[in-house]
Amino acid sequence: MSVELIPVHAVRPAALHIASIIAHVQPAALPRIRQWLETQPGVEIHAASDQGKLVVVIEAAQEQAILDLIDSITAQPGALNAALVYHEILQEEASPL
Amino acid sequence: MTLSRREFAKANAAAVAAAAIGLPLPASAANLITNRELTTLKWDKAPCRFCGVGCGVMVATKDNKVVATHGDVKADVNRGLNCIKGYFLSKIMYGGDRLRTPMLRMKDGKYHKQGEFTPISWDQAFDIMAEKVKTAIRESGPDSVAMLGSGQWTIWEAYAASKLIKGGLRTNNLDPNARHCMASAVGGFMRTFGIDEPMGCYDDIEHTDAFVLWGANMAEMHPILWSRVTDRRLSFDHVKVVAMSPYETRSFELADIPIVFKPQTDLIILNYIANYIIQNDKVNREFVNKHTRFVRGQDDIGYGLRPEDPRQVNAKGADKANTWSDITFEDFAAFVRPYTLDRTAQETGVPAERLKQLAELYADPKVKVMSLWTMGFNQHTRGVWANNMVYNLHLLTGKISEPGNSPFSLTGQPSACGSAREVGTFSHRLPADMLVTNPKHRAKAEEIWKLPPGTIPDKVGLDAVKQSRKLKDGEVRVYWTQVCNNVQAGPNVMQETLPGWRNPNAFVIVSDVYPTASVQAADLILPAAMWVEKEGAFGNAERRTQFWHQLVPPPGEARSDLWQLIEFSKRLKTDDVWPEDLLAKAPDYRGKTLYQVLFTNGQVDQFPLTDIEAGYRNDEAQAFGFYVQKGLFEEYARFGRGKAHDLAPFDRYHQERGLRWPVVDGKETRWRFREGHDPYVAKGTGVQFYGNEDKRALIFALPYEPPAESPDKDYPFWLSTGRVLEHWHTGSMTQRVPELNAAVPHALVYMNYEDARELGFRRGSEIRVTSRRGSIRGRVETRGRVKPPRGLVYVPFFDANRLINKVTLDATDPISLQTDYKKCAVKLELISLA
Repeated sequence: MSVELIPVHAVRPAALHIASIIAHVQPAALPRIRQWLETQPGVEIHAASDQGKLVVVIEAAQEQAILDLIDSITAQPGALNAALVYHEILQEEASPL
Repeated sequence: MTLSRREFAKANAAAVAAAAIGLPLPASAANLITNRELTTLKWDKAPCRFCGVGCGVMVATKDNKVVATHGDVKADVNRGLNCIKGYFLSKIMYGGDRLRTPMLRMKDGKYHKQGEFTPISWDQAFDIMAEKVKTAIRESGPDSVAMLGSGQWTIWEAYAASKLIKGGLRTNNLDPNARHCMASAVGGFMRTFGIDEPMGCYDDIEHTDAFVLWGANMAEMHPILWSRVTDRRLSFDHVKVVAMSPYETRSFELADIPIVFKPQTDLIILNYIANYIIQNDKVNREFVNKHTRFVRGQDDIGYGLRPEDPRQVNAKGADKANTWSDITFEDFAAFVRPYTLDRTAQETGVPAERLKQLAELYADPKVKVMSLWTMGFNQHTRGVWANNMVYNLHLLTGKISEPGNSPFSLTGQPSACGSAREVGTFSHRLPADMLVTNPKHRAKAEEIWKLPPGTIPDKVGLDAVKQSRKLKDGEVRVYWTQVCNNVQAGPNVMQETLPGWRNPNAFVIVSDVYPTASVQAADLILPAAMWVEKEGAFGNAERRTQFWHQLVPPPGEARSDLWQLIEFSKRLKTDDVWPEDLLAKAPDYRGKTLYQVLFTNGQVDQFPLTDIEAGYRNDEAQAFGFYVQKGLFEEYARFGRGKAHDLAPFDRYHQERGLRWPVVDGKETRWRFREGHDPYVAKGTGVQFYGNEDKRALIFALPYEPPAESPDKDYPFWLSTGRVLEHWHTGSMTQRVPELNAAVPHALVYMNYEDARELGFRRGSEIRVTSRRGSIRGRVETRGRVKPPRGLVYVPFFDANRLINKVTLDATDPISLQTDYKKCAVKLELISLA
């Protein structure tokens, strides 16, 4: 039986993506992860609490960057969880950028 | 406020996230709320299509297409959050290889088992199905027909299938794929409590002091609930998390007490904790005396293998696996006494100190405990026992049915509870926990269905695993599967499933949305509608029933499973499929189609099209000329109302973000069996486990017994299978989302670094994983998200090109008949070093 079913699609280029992510981190790791996040391209921290909760906003040209960010947040030592909350695609033609 | 669209979007994104996490709004977002006017999108609510958590999502449509989704801030379950899979929901329907037309294997213009798939019309498809079903029933009886459905069916699809197969075709050979997923949980509930599904709900997360994960890797499999667990743990210093598993997972990041135990020894740990509670005098005697009784379960029950297998022949209790006898508390105490700390530490490989810390959480009356489990317990040859044994701990201490004290069985499919368990699509069940072997239960179903007495057969039908075996043996001649992919998901594919499906005596029909492994092994393919391409209802793990409207049309000629079931029923007459003695009891039904008998019975067809909420399409209702979903739901709800399974009236669910049953006097129930929360508990009693006649829950004495297969010198490694975050089950939907597929394109063989080094493998080496049944090739990962201890490898099952179920063993729990996918023995060989 042939089960070579699933094509690996190329990721399409898209317009500007805005997304927010909630991250939970060990409180002790908060300053370090915060600092690391601030160096990531297109990433802003919009809120944080001492208990280790962060609201992260990213803008990116490709959705893949959003996924990569989540993945790399989760991979940080002391990171517990990262969840997507919001995503909006700003189409080029309508964008006043 | 003058914000550019870009700044507006960012502020909005931050505001929604902050609200979801309970943080004050960032200054940038002050005065901002989600501004729908900015877009021309139409937004509607729907539950997520994927797992059993049942998150609410908002779905945006434009020009008959789903274009965006986001977490629903009004949904109790997820409060605006979304996991990666839910986030990409809008894309699951638009894979390029969506099935759009029925296809039949044909040669020389007619059906041929070895023919090529050829597009045909729906008429032609139903013609050949009807011919095959009639011939099979005439020549070999109703039990030569079988159907495998799903915990991803909508509630009314499952209910229509149950009516058609059990009431129309008169066979109980109907089973959901939830057999592979939830059957042991059901067995546990029915044996201990006499009624199915959790007593608590997700609200327990915010009330508990200790989370104990029995195998469950919630960080990847239930990420939104995990974010609630994480939030609770980080917000309150005293809260503890215990992560237990035969291998380290991402959930261990949060663990205060990490516990890696040897496969199958969870049973030893469970009895050790019971023993610890008793030895340290921490039994809640008042609760135990008033609300429980003690029984000893049958032991030596075998492994659900074929009857001639020596492991079955030698099992003394195999023919009476689901039986028990009364014992006293003292008997129970003596039974668990041998499960000492020393023995447990030695046999499980877990440090004694950690075992003691774990036991103390259960024993300490001041600590509220939430136990959580999924497939680690359920996919276990002693899965029902493991469920019973974790209830023992909560019952001995009275830590149950109140906020924060909660043994909680998580589910994997969006409607395993709603469509498989509550509707009763298992081969032994009818709606509302009723059984096909109980004459009163059959009579009640026949009365509600307006069928003559004796229509529903009295013997248990074929479960999922036996369906494959009977296909191979030539006894099942027509087989229809919907919303599942059993060639990939079922165990022991090469020896049982595939030979069964390709048996020349069998005609196999598969309804699906993409060309899965099952579709490719079928004889007739029916293209299905999915998710918001139809009106639907799911029931999640906390008893929450959630509805959605049809928002877009399905592509091409694809039609919903509901339409397929009901439209097909027009092709069969009672005279074709019922025996003369049954027809004689219902002369009015002679010459009628099953459609007339089952679906235009004055009940299912009683609601007119005008009842459909304005502004929504409903293809099935238009096709049949009545509001078929409402008619089916209201008829189905009659089974449970007044029987502690009460559902609200149909229309209300379209207005709510779901309601948790029983819904009595318009109010949902969060904690069952507890006075003040559950209206079925009599005043002044405090607690009543009313599923059992004496209103007591059973505490089961059950021993440790070994697994069906363990590593030996020829096959020295344990193999455990499961999922990863990015993909859901067999990947038929998530692999169509480019971003998810790019993130995790292939199943890897996760293994211990030391083992890999010793065998001469590197990270990335291609190796062969072989069991006594089959083998696959895969690449080694030693640094991944799953970190096995020495002697164990983990392979996810989403990847059709690396079909790990060629390797797994079809041993099942003899009570639940659910497969143990977590334990078999394999050897590993290098193919190329890389």
